[in-house]
Amino acid sequence: MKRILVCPFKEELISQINGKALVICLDDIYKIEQVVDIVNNHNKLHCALINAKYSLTAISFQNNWRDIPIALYVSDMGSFLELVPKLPVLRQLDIRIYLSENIEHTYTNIMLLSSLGICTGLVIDRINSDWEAINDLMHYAIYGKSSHAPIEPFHYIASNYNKNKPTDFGSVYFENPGKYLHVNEAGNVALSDKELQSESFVADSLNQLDNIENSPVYIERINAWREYFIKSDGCAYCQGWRVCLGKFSDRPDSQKKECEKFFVDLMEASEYFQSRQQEKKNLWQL
Amino acid sequence: MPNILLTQRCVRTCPYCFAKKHMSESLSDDMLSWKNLIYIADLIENSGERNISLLGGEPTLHPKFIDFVIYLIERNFNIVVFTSGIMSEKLLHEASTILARVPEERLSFVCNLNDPKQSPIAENESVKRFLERFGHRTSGGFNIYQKNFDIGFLFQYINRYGLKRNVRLGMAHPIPGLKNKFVAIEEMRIIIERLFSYAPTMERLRIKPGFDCGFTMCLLNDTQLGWLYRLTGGTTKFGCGPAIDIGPEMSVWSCFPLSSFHKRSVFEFDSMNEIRHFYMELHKKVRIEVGGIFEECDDCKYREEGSCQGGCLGHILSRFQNEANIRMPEIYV
Repeated sequence: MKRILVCPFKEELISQINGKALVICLDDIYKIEQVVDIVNNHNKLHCALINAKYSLTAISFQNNWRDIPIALYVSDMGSFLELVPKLPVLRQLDIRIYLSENIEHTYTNIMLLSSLGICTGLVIDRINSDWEAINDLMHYAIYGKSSHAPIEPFHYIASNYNKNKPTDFGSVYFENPGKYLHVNEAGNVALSDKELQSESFVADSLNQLDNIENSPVYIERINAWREYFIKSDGCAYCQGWRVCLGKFSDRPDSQKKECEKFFVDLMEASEYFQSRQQEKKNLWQL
Repeated sequence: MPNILLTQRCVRTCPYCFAKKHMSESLSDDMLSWKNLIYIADLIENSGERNISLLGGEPTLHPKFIDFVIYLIERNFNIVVFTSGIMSEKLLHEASTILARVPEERLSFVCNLNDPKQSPIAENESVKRFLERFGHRTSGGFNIYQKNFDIGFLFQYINRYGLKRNVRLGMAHPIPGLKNKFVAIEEMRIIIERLFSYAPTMERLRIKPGFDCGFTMCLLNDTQLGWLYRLTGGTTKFGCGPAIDIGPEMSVWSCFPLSSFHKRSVFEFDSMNEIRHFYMELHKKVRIEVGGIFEECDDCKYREEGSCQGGCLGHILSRFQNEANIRMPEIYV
């Protein structure tokens, strides 16, 4: 299976890659046209992953970014009134705005953006997540009758949920070894951004990419989830396992019941979402 | 059109205030949150409605007043803001800069005006500043609570500040269980006579009176009805129905005078229609017991046909306050 490579915006590195789909990480959103020019020569831009250190309202969105897939992490939403003039362009873009749960008012801001037609994603990165607030947001995302833009990871899970097999929503954050591989400037390959940062590589160079599935390190890492079944109180025994897949196993024990409840609710919501999709009749077309 | 209360706080203490009971039972610092606004907007949108009134207290006291208006405009709602027009110069400047960009047909104001002779000078000055900026988007509103009222100032304001040439005229109604100033039933005909003494001025200035709820058709004689028909094209209603007010803490009730009458939570309903139906049914039950504010209402063919509702339910429920509970249980506050 062809993996999508997540790599920094370095021309030298990109020139060594050929015929791949790339997620390009950069800090400066104003360089994305340059990214498109460079990547699309010999590869295909899957998405520009921008980790902006500023608020959403500080960005001057351009009409000619319309066809560029953008995943934008911002430090906060900024003032609503400053956002309003940007909405007409923002709505035209192929963009998803990611907000961390560490930011004040994130849940409300995500609802607000979504209700105005902007796709959003919640980054669940707090050690003490407010699972009740996340659950509320999930209810809005899935059960909300009013038309609003998708909110991730809820929309991804609800769309891809299958009660007979696991659903890994890591793809929403480019963190799914089955789909994404992370590459650093030196060409080292890891299965996640975290592992890339801690230098837990599965390959030392891009040349090993085609054979990576046979690498023992890769196989060991990809099967690491089995460990959860060995532990007597592991996440694998939780009802929410099929969707959570142990992503929050490092959280304090006090959180465990709360995240379990959330994921159980999410699975129920996903079944509801899919039953609603099936209700939609596809009429014949002329 | 549902009314959303942005805040319970108000800058005035009008003697007739029909929001008094609701305010006294609520936390004065309650402010509508973004989350609740989005919920209400979704509910109204799902109900297929596009018009919203923003009320208070004084809605402009909400720290996010301008943001909320712009948000609802972005959601394609048409907004009417009911305000006293009393606000800080800073807010007025900000509002006139930002809200000026919204098309007039999407955003308008109803300014509840009190007689300037009975209001503090600072209040009058603030209202004038508001009307100077927003007069062209504003209809004047006046609540009648005493027999010797004077609405001459309304016409001056309309001409001086370019207000819309229609005025909203309301009668202060009793709040069951609370003492507020209101127009007693026996005073209503006097009120109407006084109101019609302004008819020549209204006609000359082409100003259309709009009756708020609680007026009955029989208060007007045929000449007055004919005049009203000619001036307004027959749009006058003699209604009393659920207005639907939604509070900042997500409670919902029929209208301000009936704010204690089966107050519920918005979360109990799936649509505005459901809410309206719920209160409509309660109104009907009361009307089965007592048709209207006059004894004649019971047999009135105009009430039966729906041309007149029989006056404000607040009067009827106030009457039930001091009697033994012998009627249908639902109608007791």
